[in-house]
Amino acid sequence: MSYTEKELKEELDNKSYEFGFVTDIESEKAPVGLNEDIIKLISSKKNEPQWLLDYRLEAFRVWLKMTEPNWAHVKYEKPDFQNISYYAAPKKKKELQSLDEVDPELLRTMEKLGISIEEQKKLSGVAVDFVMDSVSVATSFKEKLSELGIIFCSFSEAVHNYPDLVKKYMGTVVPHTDNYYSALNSAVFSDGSFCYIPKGVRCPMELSTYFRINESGTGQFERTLLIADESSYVSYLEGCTAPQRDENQLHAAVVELIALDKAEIKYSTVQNWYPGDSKGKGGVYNFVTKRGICGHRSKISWTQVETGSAVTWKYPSCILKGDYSIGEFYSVAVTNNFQQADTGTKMIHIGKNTKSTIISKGISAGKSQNSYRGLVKIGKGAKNSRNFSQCDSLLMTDQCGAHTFPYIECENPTATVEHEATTSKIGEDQLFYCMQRGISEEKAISLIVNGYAKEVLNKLPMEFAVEAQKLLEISLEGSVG
Amino acid sequence: MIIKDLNHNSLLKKNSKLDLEALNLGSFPNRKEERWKYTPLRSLKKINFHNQLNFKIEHLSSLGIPKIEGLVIVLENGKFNSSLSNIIDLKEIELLFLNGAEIANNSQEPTQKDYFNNLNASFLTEKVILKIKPNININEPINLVNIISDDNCISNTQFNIDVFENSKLHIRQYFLGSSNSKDGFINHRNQVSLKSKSSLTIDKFQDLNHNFNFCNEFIDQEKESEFIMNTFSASGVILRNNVFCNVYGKNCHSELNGVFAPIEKQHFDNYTIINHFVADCKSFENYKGVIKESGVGVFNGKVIVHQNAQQIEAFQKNNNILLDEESKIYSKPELEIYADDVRCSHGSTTGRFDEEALFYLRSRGISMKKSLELMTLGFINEVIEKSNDSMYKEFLLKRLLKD
Repeated sequence: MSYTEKELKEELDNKSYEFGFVTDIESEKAPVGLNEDIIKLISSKKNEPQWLLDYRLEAFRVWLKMTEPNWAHVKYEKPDFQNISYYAAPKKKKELQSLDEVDPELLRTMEKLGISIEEQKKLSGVAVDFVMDSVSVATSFKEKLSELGIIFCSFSEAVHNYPDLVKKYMGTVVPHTDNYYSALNSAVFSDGSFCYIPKGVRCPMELSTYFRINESGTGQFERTLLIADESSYVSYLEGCTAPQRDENQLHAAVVELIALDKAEIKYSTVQNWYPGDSKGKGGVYNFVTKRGICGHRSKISWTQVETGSAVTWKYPSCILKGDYSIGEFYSVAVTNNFQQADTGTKMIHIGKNTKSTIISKGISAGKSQNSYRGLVKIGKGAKNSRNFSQCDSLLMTDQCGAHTFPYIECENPTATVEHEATTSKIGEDQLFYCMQRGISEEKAISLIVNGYAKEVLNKLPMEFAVEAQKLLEISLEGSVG
Repeated sequence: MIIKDLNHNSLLKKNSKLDLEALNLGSFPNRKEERWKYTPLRSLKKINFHNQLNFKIEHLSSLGIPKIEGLVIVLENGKFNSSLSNIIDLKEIELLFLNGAEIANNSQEPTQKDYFNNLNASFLTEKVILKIKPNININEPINLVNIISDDNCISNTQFNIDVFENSKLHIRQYFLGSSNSKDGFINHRNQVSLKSKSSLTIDKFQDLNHNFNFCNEFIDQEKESEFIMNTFSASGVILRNNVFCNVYGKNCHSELNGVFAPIEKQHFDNYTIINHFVADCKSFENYKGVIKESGVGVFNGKVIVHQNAQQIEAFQKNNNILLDEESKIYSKPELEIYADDVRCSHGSTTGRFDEEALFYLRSRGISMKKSLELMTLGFINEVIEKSNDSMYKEFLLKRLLKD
């Protein structure tokens, strides 16, 4: 008897979240709720300067006046913002000098995630800024990077050590007034990563951060600020796994990229937050604001593989301000069971001769809803700008949905904007072709889906490509109904 | 927006003014609403309308349209104008005019949360019902003309078109504004019902000059029916075409085509929703925008494929040409798919004319103006070609190219 599709389906249904485990580490939590006192508490816990506290409070006041957006094609129970603890940090011990001092429990967590720090340090040449619940615990390869003048540290460290840089750039791409979740993040962000690449430096390794929600009931409010000074280059990896939880967890991050003249930033994400169980219970709410701004002849490239989260609301964007700047967006979004995703990008062309490319591949299975929502705006002065967008959707079952909502706004006659989208299921002839050559249905689907997403997966750095492919397989195989 | 109500309407006493925002018609659309995101209505809102219905046009030819033959129904400023119309007795068609109190008795308004639809229902002054009996093929097009010729006049009119089984009908619909009137507003509604195996083609031509025109089209299709609508928008301050095509029967064909050519700050908005409720249907959309002299074009098309509506083939296409620095285009082709065995796609392009092609024409001694005209012609011809009447085609080209 061969392994039937039905069996596989059952197996998948019963398969629990692979990376769902909870690390038992003592952690310090702020009381539940959100008010100015809590914000002051967060700020004082982190020994923050007054200007940052003022910034937080200002953002909080703005946030109070805002209403939660409801235009996205997702339905979910609105989180109760007064029922979340806004700060959780592993108990502070003395400054860590070496790995031996790191909590062994924590080390084991990392091992389970497959990013053992020792291994990473010795073999892969990847500097890992490991974020365990909000506070950076271990940062490696710092010395090597600092030789080149590269700053790669946690956000709170940066606030203390490089306040001028933080003050100058923070909130310039995603202002605290931008939207509901970015305002919330600006008010209560706990920690995150800060990266500065000096003039003319080509970062020799892929910088990577692993985010992880660990404490039950704590929302995670990361803030990433990445500055690539003139003529520099950096490739940044961000990956997420989260433990299994019953209640909905909120994740509202802000990522700001600044590419100064002739700089290039490559930002890759693999997102695998807990998507909820097969009945749609639990799962992470992922409401992220990601945006980059380009100077002259600079380039920002977003690559994302989205497989997790119960609800995703995410639009990594590029403001192409400088002439001849380039924006790219490559995305694979997979939804299964009751997941909902409303994701896409915004390409805002301001400078002359700017170029943008959007490749979005959506795959929906189970009873999920997967939407692409993207804006291409060609401003009045964006002469000779060029955009190409392609959004394909693949439907795996007759109960899921795939939607495309492109917004094309063109205000300059010399610009060329192209958009195309298709929605279809896996071709029966393709499937037949594979199966007739002795490939099982299961394998054939995996093959076809991989081929379908290849265009995007190819853009991922080596370290991530393998993980991404694995995630795709876990999320999808056999989900054809 | 205020309407001075001088007519029959029971809503108010004579000679009183009516503030439309105060009426319970739903909220006045603003740009925060997704459906009105790209169409500001400030210029419409500030006008004080009246609905005093009188006739001003003596000959249709003064409106710049070619001679119309056959059955012609003319509504001027919201009222049936018998002297301009040509009512010939066609026994295949049942024709019914309703106005005043008769409308109230015959009203069967669905409760739509759309402001202009409600406005139309509340102030409806003329309703024409056309019924095409079963098994009839009418070759000669029927002409429905809607004219606005009075300043600040609001015209709320409605056509009900029922095509019964196995019948075929071709309609030419004209929305015209006389060149010496301004700030008039035709708020029209077409209610179309297509029974099984019937076929209807509507050629809609809009030339409003300095007036406004909103059209709400509701189309219900039963099995194996065919609906084709070609919209040609030549002029008007704001033109808005809402097409709601509901496909309830299998093996239907729905086709929406359009050419919109706004100039001089005109604003043309095409908003379409095709709802596929059942399986095995096809729908096509093809809209072409030629925008110049600070004109603004909007295309917002949506195809919804509901669950269990398998084997749907849907295609949306929107091509736009911007001809000068100040013109703008907003394109939003949307797909909402809840079934898996479908082939749905859309394409949208925006750009300018190929420099090399232009050079080719210029190098052969053709003037810049003529070259651009030829290129535009080539661009919109795909839609114009849908009509097989050469007289009508010529007229369309002349008006759309504005020479």
